Amino acid sequence: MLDFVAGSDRAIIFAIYSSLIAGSMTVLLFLWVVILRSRLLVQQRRHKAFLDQWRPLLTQVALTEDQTGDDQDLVVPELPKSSLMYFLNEWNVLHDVLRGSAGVRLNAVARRLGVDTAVWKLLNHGRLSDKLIAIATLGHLVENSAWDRIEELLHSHHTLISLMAAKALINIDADRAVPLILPMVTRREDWAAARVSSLLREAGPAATSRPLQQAILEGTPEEAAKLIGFLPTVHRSIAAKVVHEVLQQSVDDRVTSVCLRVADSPLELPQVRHLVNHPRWHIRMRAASVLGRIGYRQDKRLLERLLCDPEWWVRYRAAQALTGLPFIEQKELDRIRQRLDDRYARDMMDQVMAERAA
Amino acid sequence: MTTQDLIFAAQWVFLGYFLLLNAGYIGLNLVSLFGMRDYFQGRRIESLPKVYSEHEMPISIIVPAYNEAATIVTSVRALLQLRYPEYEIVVVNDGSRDGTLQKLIDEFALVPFPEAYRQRIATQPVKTIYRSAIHPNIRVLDKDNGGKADSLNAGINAARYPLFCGVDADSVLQPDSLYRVLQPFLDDPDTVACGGTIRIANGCRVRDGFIEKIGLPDSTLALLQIMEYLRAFLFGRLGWSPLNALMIISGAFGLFRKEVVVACGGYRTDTLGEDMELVVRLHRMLRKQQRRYRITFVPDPICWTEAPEDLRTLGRQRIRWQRGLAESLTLNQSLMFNPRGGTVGWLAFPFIFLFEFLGPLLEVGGYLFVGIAYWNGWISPDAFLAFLLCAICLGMLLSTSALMLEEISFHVYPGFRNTMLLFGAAILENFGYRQLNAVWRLIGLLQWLIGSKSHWGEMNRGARWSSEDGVGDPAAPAAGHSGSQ
Repeated sequence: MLDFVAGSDRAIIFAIYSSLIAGSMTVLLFLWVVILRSRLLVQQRRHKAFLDQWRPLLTQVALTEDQTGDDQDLVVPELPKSSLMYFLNEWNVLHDVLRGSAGVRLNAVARRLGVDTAVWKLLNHGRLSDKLIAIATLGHLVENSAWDRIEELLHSHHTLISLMAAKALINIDADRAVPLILPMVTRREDWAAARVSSLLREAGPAATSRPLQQAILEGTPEEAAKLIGFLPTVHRSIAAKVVHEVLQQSVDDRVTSVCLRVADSPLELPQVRHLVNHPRWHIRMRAASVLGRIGYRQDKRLLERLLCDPEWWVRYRAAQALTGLPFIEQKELDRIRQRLDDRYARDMMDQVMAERAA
Repeated sequence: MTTQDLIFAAQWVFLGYFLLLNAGYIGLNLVSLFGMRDYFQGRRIESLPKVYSEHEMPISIIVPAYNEAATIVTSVRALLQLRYPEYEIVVVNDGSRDGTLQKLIDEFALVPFPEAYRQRIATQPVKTIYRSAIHPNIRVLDKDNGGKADSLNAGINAARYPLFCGVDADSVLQPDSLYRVLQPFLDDPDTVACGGTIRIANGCRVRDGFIEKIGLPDSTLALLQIMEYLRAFLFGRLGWSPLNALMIISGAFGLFRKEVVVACGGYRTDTLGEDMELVVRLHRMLRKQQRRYRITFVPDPICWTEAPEDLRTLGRQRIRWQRGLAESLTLNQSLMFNPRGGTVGWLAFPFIFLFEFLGPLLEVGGYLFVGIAYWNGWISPDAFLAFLLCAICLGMLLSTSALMLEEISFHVYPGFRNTMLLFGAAILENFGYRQLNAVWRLIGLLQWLIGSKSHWGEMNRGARWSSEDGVGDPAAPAAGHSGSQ
């Protein structure tokens, strides 16, 4: 094959072999691209056919008046094996959008199609994406028999599997799931706060309030700092109580700062007034915001003082707090503005007053 | 050493360089493949609808605008329609001479606003700050001309929120682009910057600042650039991201943690590659401080930009990019092989220095050597053809592997015909286009070496998205300081 380069040096032969390998790989990759595109087109057609048939049917099931899901007249076509993943995707999306009895009826359809048994196979033998959808499905099906297996997966090192397992456990039994999940929240660095927040919202305040209160009050400062951020997901009265207790005892600036973010009870005022003198600017800033939310007339002076703070954000929040106090009128704000000696404080008042006017 | 020995050694040097370069990129391709797999598995959990939580940090979008009268109103209108819970738009009018400011004042009912502007990063003087009477989240800074980096710095000074996103005035964003690019910040609190894939909008139908229909352009030059962008983003960047060694986030769209950027001194105003320089400097400084951080990349096509369709503009752009790259690397050269440099200092920086910075010199040198050697009879016609064939085949392999990555991930361009066209481009670009690019980059390198003054040229753009039908007049020029790599 390489007769024409006979006698050439090794560099040429090396170049030609490299070209041949690269050329062949290019052809192979191109063929792969063609196969992938053809497969995609077939999948798209199949998916469209599935949606045309199943979307109206699932919508009808979800919107029907029957509360039990035992509608014997409903004709459910057979679900081909190749359409199982399309069905599970569509069905799980509907579950997340709809609430109440619609879920019961969707579950009845899934059981009639044998999905409850098919997902076990996906869970035990499928690829990662299959496992994820299987966990979500078992959760939506409120499959109590899957509890132990899913609880096992809650401790998986894989972030997505553990999070999906947490979501499924909440769907099955939120009261039982939250006490299992909260210790994981403090331990697992890979669980993003936004995802945990979504989970706790899904569990609802009834299931979350007490366990979260207990975990915050009994945890270390690090654990408390991490968990306090989720207080907006619980009952207001419990959140206020937790904040009050933590603020009284807190020696950790991070914990104090997070508490101030959610504090909205007048019970905290003495502590907050004390914190406007804190050496860390972000605590002074948050204290200013809290005074804006719950402060009394006497707190005007404190806020005026914060207007002269060296940190821009403290001045900004103090000005916002002052101008937002419900009992303060424009004339009084003008007077405060005039008696300010500090140019930066005046500039800030000008800005915030203009913002309010706009 | 005889001439024959020198030629023999040169043959091996150039051949070895080409093979090493391609092996390096194929390695990146493999890392991208795994990165893409993880990314798509991660998206499975997000495919289920979720409500916005209070953890989505508010974002300041900074839009530097210099002589953007043709596009600015449509761009800002499109930004107003982004799907995100809380964001502000800070347009920085960088001393435009074409009525950009007046257009903004008329369209968004801007009124001067007494803002307590704090100059944390030094910039050209800000003359007036305006605020929209209709949209409270729009502010416009009118400042003296100082260039794109200076405008971005002014925008950072004025930004209210902890994250800022620099956006070119002519960029077309996906409606969920902010949400997508924010995900790494939510998943890992150590994330300080995140970029996304930039795609070429030529050939797409754009209406009201959004992509309405995706297609390929008629212009061959634009088509070749699409292949180039696929290569650059799908494995050039996605490959480095899992290694935390990403060295560039396009100025057309990137999300940054404001305080970290301010602590680093903001964008440098004396470089043409301010976007890359900032990212390399962030690596250098954060490594020096031994801080935990992540600079990352989401492969989703989140931003579309118009590519030049004439050789002159394209050549100027590529020369500028190469100069920017040279400046970014040399200004932060202490990162290379730094004991604290990590993957970026020991792998990415040397890789980019060898293959991107010195690349044009060796590539053009290789082609010239083979040509001259053949002309003078130092090498046989067989050798000449063998080396040329090797360079072309390896180039085709790289481009086709980028096409494969596109096909297994987003397959953005619909239909079989488009796949064929892209494959055609992957082959065609190796017959002249790549070589021309290498020449432009070499010119950029030489200009940087002799130290000619850095300045932004004017970009000829069709201002397509500003017209009623969304197709626009390709002849209508628009100028600006965009055209980020």
